[in-house]
Amino acid sequence: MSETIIKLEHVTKSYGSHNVLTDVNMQVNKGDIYGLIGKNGAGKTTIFKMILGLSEKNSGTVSIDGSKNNRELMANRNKIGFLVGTKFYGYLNAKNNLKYFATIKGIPSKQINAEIERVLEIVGLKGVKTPFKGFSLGMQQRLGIANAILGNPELLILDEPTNGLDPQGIADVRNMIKRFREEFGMTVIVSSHILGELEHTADRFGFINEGTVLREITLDDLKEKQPAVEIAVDDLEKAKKVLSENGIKILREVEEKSSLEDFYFNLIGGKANE
Amino acid sequence: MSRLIKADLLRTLKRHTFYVWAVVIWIIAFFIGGFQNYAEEQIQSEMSSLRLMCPLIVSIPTFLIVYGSDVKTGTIQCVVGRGISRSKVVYAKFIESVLFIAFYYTILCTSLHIKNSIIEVGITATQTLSLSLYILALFLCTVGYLAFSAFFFYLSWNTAVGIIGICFISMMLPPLFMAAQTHFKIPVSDMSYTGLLLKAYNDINVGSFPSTALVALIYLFAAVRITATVFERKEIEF
Repeated sequence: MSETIIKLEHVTKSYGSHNVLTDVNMQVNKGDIYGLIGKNGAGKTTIFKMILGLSEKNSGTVSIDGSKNNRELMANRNKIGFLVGTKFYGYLNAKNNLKYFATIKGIPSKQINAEIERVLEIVGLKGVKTPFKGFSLGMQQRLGIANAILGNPELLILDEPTNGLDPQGIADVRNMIKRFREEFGMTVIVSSHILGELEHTADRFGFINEGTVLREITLDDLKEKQPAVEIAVDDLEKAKKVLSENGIKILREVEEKSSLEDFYFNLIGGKANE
Repeated sequence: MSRLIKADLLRTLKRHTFYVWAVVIWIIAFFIGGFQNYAEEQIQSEMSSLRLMCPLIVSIPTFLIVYGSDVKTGTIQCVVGRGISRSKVVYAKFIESVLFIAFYYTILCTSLHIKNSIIEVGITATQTLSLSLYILALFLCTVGYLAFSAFFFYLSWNTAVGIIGICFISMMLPPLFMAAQTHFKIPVSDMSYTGLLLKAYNDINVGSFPSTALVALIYLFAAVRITATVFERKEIEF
């Protein structure tokens, strides 16, 4: 059985009479890429803030890596790297901003520079000297991810990491997330309101709506629920005839179009998936 | 907590405004009290001007440096999210403010000392010592004003409220207490933070033990503790 790294049980949060989270139960196992899906305002960011201690719950329990009390919970938060909005000092460049957070994180002084170079290279910001206030939205997101992976945290929380990114940026982030698990062994929780985005990245999903996690499924569950395969043939009419001759009914026929993303990447010669 | 202090100090050293304020304070201090003809007159003039201006010209830049950018950028979210408790954030910021106030007061003292050496009005060692003690009392006043206004800042999570708090506590409260003391014959001014520290200064000058300074320090640490509790319990959306 997989080891649990994040567990939320019966978590409730409200502001006055407005319920933001209602009886939220959620479990993330070590090694998962967990996609938290929900529309804007569904409660995704609030769940993250609760895990990170940025917002207090009204009731229920939050456990990080098996923490049993508040002291352990606080200590285990240092195992988390996170991107919940891009919060940096405008007058500092990428390197100095990361130096600040690396110091807080307790990365030894002698290792800080090498670690910063490493994460900046991963996110493609190596050599950028501009102060943060001059960063584009995409660069801000990349720096946010660099900050999140400082010191190779066990768990990575990414709240809408592709917000404001162009298609190439979205594809890069998607690849980075996979790399974080495969190369660095991180567990990743990533939220989005764009379904297609998570389908390419995550292997477990939590669906949240109006402050309640409705269901958690795996990628395999998703396949089981759709007993259909997609095949490409060179002669569609002949294929239909063969199926019909063998007593197989065609229940549904979908005309496939290239997605906008595919079209874009074909056009510019970039890569959506590596 | 020490990691946060170290990170904040290193970050501030890269900030231009930190040095700009230092230069501004140096210049203001040089002209504080003007240029009198006699030593005693010079010292008295400097003391009264320092009391009027010092807490403001030091505490406002310190407040902006220590607290201002955290609200503006929201970076405090990354600090709390990394497992540093809110009370530790309050203590760390308090220690940082003491360090920055000490730095700016050192700049101020250096400027005053250079001026007093140049003007050659025959200031004695005793007068210099008395002025230094007075500045020490003002240093503690400034630390207190900042700590008290930090309470309002954490309560509102708004830099402007903190600045207004500093102005109110350092400029308006002392004369209000004084008026209340005179009018109602209750020692509110004597028992106030500023009153206790000035009493301690006078005690030292006449060779007595400055016991009232201890009471002032109790006020100070109680304020920091209360602020930490308030911030710990307050729901703030970073």
